[in-house]
Amino acid sequence: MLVIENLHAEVEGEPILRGLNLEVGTGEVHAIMGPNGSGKSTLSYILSGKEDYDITQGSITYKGDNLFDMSIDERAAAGIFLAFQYPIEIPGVAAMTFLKTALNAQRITRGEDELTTPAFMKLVKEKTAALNIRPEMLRRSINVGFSGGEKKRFEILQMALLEPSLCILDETDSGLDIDALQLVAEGVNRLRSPERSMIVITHYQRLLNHIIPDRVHVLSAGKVVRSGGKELAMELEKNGYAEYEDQKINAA
Amino acid sequence: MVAVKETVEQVKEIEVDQYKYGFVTDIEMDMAPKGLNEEIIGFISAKKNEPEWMLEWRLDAYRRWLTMTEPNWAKVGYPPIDFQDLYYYAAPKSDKEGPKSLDEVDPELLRTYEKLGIPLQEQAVLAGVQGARIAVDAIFDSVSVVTTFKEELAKEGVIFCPLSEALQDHPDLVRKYLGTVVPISDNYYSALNTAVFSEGSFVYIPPGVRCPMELSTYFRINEAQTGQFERTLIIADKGSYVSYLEGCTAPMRDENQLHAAVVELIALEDAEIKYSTVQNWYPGDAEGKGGIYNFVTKRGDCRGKNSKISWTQVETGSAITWKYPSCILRGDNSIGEFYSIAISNGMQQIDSGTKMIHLGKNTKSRIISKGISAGKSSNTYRGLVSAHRKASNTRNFTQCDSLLIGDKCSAHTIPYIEAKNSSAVFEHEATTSKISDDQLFYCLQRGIGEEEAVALIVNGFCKEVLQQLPMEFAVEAQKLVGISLEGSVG
Amino acid sequence: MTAAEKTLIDQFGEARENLPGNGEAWMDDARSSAIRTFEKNGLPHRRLERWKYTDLRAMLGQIPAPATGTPVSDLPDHDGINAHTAFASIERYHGVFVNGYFQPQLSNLEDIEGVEIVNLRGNFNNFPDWVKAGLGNTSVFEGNAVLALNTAFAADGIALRIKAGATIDKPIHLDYVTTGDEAATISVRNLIIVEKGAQATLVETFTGPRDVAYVVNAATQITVEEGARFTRIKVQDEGLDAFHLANMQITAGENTRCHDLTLTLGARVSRNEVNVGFSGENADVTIAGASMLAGKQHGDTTLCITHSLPSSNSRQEFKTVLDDYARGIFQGCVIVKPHAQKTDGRQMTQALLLSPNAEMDAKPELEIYADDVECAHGATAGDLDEEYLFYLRARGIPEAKAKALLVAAFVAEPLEKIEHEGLREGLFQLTNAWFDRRKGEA
Repeated sequence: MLVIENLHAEVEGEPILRGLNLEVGTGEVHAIMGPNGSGKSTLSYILSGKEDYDITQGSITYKGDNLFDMSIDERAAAGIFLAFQYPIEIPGVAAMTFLKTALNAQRITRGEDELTTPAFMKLVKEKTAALNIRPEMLRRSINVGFSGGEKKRFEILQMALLEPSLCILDETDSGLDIDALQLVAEGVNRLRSPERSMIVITHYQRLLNHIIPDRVHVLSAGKVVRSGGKELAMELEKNGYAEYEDQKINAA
Repeated sequence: MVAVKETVEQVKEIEVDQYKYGFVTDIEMDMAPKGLNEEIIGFISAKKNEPEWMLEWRLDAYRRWLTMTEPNWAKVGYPPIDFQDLYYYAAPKSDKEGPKSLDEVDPELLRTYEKLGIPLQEQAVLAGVQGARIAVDAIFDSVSVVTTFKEELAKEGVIFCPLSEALQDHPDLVRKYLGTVVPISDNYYSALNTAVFSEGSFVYIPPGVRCPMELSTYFRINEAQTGQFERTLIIADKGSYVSYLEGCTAPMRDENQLHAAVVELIALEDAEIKYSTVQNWYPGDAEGKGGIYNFVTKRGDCRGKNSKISWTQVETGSAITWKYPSCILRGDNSIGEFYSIAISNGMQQIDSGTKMIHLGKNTKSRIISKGISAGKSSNTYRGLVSAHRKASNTRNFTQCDSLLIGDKCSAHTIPYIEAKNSSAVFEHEATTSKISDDQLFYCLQRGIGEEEAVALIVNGFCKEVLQQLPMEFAVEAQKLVGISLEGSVG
Repeated sequence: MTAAEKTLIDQFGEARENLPGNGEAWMDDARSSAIRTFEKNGLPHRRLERWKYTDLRAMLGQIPAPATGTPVSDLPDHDGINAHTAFASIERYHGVFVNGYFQPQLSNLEDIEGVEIVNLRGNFNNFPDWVKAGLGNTSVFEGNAVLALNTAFAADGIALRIKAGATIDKPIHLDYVTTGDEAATISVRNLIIVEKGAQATLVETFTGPRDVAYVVNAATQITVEEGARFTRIKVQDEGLDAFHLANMQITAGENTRCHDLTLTLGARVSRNEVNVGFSGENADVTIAGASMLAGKQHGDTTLCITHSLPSSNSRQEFKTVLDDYARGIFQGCVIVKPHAQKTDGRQMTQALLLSPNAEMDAKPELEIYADDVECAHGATAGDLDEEYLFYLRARGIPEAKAKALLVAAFVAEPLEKIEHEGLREGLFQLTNAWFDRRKGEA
């Protein structure tokens, strides 16, 4: 599904990623953990195509294609979905309009027919029920006046609706209480399938109690410094990131 | 707002003028004849022993001034000024040879500055409890009386002296920069100033030097029927920093006196100039008789990359204030700031604000203006923020707040926002309101007297600007805010 | 005097005899007084503070001859969405003007219950007093040369009186269509009185041919009496070579609710001037608008709300979208006179610059002479938020579509406040289509 090789990236001359390697197979769930500033969010933005980063070295291959040849929306249509850590508020654009526009835009790009309004409404109804999202929430502007939990659930709703192949969850647990976390995790777990890969970015292990990863990677100073199974997350929970912070200093 | 209304009523009954700097110094003066013509300009130039090019420059300005008309767009009104009925040069007679040491200054003058609370005695300043050291250039009508701490500053390479002295000692520096920020025919009053200015301060901070103390000029208009036309030129060379303060007072007189100054600031690469003004010229009496016409052109040029010019003004005096300290943000990444408190009272009229001209890339500006109108005064904020075609990624934030005390005064906000570049992000906010009854009630309920409560609330309203002043000035300014309102409100 | 100014004065001399009301003393006086005012001041120019950013004297070089009126049997077809078609499907009272002349045969304004209608080409002798008082009022064009010209040249128009207590069930749509390949100057003058407690909604739309430099000078005087509710929606969708000069004057009475919305899409040069005054307390006035300009369009919105009486609210809310070399101007003024205590005046102007060559000039003014007031204004200018764009694109929405969505969302705020659903939808159709229509016109 995704192969990242020796990725180097910088922002305004400041190196953030320094030789990152990662391979995510189809149907696998990978967790990326690491101290603050290790480059976790940068990775998620680069995968989705944000233009603020200079890629100085390396490659990313997605489903066999060079990801760097694709624009932000082409990537989305090709199945890359980023669940944002801080979903932005966009005043004036109704959430429902946005969902329909996004879904149909992706369908058009993929050469599929647009969904009719009744078919779309039926689909939304189905997906919202499971996530405990009230329909009136979707009549409001995107994320405007949403609570922290509502914003995250709205992200997962989009994921459910758009049915991506590669989901990137950037600190999806941040700012959620335990009930909200459970609801979001259930939503994510429902979407697990042999055709769909996931990258779960998190600082804390607690999310991984709910979304059990196949592999865990530790990111520090812009590269993967250790990989292992789900037990690695437990170890990190116990020992913290101190030893990796040291590596960061060495690298810097 | 019943409480404030009552206060206003009470104040109307107060006959005594509260302006405490209104005394006259009785001293023998050396005056040029009244009136304005090429001879008078020649007289001033000769008095100052100026080089030929200066005289030519002045005459050029005068000839252009003759073709210009007084600006009439400001929200101020006054009878026509008879420019022939003014003295353009007045100097204390004892001051024959120009600047000298403190020992030789006429004791009468020293007493004047002592009364004004201006520290001219270096020793006294050094021994002062606050430990704040300020170098002062004291200007009395048309001439500089004395400049303190000159030698100590010279050790750092800082030049701080009267402009007339700089013309003798550093003619090349003066010629290189004078008139480069405010051109001769920039406006009516600046042209007049160029023709007849008789004194002012000159500051040059060499590359990389952080000026070791606050520099300050203290302006005093004393003589009747005299205009004061001073000219200040400050150059901060690459990587230098200077903080400059300006204060002004004048005697209480029944006539209106004209003050038409020009201030030019030049900040080269990585340099920073902080210019603070506490303007407390005589505002005239409660009926609007007398007072200074303060028609001033102040402009800073952020000429180098990463330079910064910050204007802070506390305007409480003058019958009419017409001034717009501005920044030309020419250097990339340069920053301009304007912080203003303008308090108008009695019959005072203020039309003041700033211009932020964004020419360079990534330039930023910030405008915080607090206007307080009381009595029968009129208080206008007028400002321009513009981004030129090539000035990409510019930012401006403007906040203009007006407070009205009493129902006979007025407050106006007239911003001009001109975005000629799509990457410019401009934000402007303005509000006009009165002191809320709830705030006042809260203070009164806690046992704070009404006058004090108003002063307290107004000071809170101005806080953002007061914070910008150098510490030793901030305390003074805070008191001034209280006093100005006390003078006619409570 | 410029050549254009001289042309205008000559044109008046020639046209005068054929103008409606010629020979009626009160109308003759009004027209003479208007042309004298114009002769004295000429066309407005940039040295006048209110015309600082729109130098009409420099811009208006050619003055086309006054339009001549002939009855037409039907209107030219228009495919796609414009201001003329956007409201075609809603139930309305429809009044059609072609080249400034009312076309009763295409209209259905007869016999609206609760409304008295007077056509300005009717018999001036029989005009009711309220029409004479409105049209004959010469004080309105003092210091307003465009309105003075309108008074001098007004060739047609409609006077509407919404009778006391009447609630008009459908919007009244005045549909101004300019046709033909010959440039002409069109001067229309309307007069509206909404009497005590009445309720009405007026829609005015302006459309015309693309490549003809015609000039429209439209003026509307509106009086809203005690307790009445009045909404006006104007869509200026003139051809892209046209000049559109408009004046609206509203006088709001006690306890009235007035809502005015202007959507500006068309014209090479447009000036939309709105002046609001009050004749009673506790009125609530909203003057709102959205301008969407591209190419070399120049769109000037100038408004002034003068609170001369206590306890009224006013709102100004304007959005401007600028692309290509377009220039947007917003001058908004709130004046609170002495004694107009408890005034609450708010004003917001926001601009979105889509192209590096676009320009926005904003001058929001507050002029306050009373202390117990709450007044505020805000102004912003900037480009599209990159973060918004990224979020939409990250969900697979192509860039152009994402921009169109964001632009439509930007201007939506004032449009959403229109209560009539059909009108609101019509407005949204127009703003949503803006991007696509431009592609078609490019």
